[in-house]
Amino acid sequence: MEDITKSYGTLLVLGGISLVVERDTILAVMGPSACGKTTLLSLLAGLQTPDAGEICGLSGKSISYVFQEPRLLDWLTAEENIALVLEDLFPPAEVCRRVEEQLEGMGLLAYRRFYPRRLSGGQRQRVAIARALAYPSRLLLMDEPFKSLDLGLKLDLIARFLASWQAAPRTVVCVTHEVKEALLLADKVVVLTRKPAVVKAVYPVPVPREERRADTLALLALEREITAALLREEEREEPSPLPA
Amino acid sequence: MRASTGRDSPRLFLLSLLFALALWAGAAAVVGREVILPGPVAVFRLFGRLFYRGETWVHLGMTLFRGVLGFLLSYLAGLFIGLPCGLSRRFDAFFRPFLVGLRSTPTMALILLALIWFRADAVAVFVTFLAVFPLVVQNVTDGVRSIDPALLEMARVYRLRRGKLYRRVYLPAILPYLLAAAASGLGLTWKVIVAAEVLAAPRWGVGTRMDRARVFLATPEVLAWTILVVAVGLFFDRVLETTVRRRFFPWE
Repeated sequence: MEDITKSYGTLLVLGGISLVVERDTILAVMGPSACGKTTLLSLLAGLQTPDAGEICGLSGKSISYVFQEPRLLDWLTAEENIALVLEDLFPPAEVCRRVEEQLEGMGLLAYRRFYPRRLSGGQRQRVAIARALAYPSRLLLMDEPFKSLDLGLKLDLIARFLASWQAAPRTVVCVTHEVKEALLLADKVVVLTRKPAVVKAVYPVPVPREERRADTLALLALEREITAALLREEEREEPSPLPA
Repeated sequence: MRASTGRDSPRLFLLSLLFALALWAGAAAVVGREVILPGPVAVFRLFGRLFYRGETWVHLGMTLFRGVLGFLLSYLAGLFIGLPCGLSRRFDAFFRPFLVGLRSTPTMALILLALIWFRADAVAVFVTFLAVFPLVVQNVTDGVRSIDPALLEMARVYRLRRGKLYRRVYLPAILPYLLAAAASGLGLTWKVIVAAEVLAAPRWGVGTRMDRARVFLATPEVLAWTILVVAVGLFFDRVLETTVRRRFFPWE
């Protein structure tokens, strides 16, 4: 995949965003609540089209998407939910291998034959992540994938996710609310402004991924900086509709 | 969706049955005339006599046959119209007036017209078809509309093929509605079919026998046939509720 340049201005939500995501890197997108982060992902996924501007380097590329909710089919078991999106692409043996690999990666192998209603919220979300990873996409979109998980499990899943990603790197755009999470995952963190959102700042993460811990010193400084930027943005007055 | 199958529900069912029987026996005792309201004993004695008469089962069989035929035809037609109605607002807008019109047509009007148009044997089938059809369409349409757009979005991102989308996403999602359509459709079938048979008087049919019994003021027989039809309705409802539900909804 070539580098993607995107710029668009949808009337209300996104006020002209331009950014570049390098191939096979992880970009974390942060910003105030309801600033249009999800809209950004759904534009990338091709579920909506921008009013203006262009998304380059994505046409025809396969995409997987971890939505804010798991979006599993209640009538299929965990493994069937994952197999569903693979069956058209691979022979049965390969489907089976991929399903097992990702369920294993998410620590869910014991629950493979469970229907979603019998899984906990966190387990369902992990099935959704496993589905997105099992699908052979060039671009992986994630909308707060580790939300509503307790801290220990969250760190565990982030580690599992990174292991799986490193085994088969692909381009990832991940929306998140938590600076720590962004700093563990990303090569680059983008902070958006309030609605209508534009790019406020881009922070490359200077520490190699293997050396990152929740308490790495260089990260703490960056964490403070990004948090401050986010807070400033949250507290900024809503721009008045008419310039004074 | 339906009554719970809790541990004490069979006991409660028995209790309510006993209560109804007691009420009936009490009322019959007060009225005191078998022609007006025979008691349960008289009706069940007659029921026993009917039971051993071969003809009874031919009458019942023909009524069942007409009912099931009319129901199946209207169910298939209801799927055929209901699916596109759920998928397309314009299709729905076009068909809605027909359905509303059909639903507010008195059943008796349908029967009278059918008497003019068809042989006595076909009347009940035709009337059942027209009476049940709008009900099925409505349920199927609601079912298709109830599908979570978020799931369809997911299917789009992962590029599910059209056939798979219908088979694995749409169909299971509307299955509960199809079952509800079958349950309420069959319930209506047994009511309509007897009415049609009473008026059309085909050679064989429960409705015919009921009307004959009425003419001879054989009230116990009218009630015995009624109980038979109710039993048929309950039987089909149980079959749908247990066998079909267990077969198609393993995830619940």
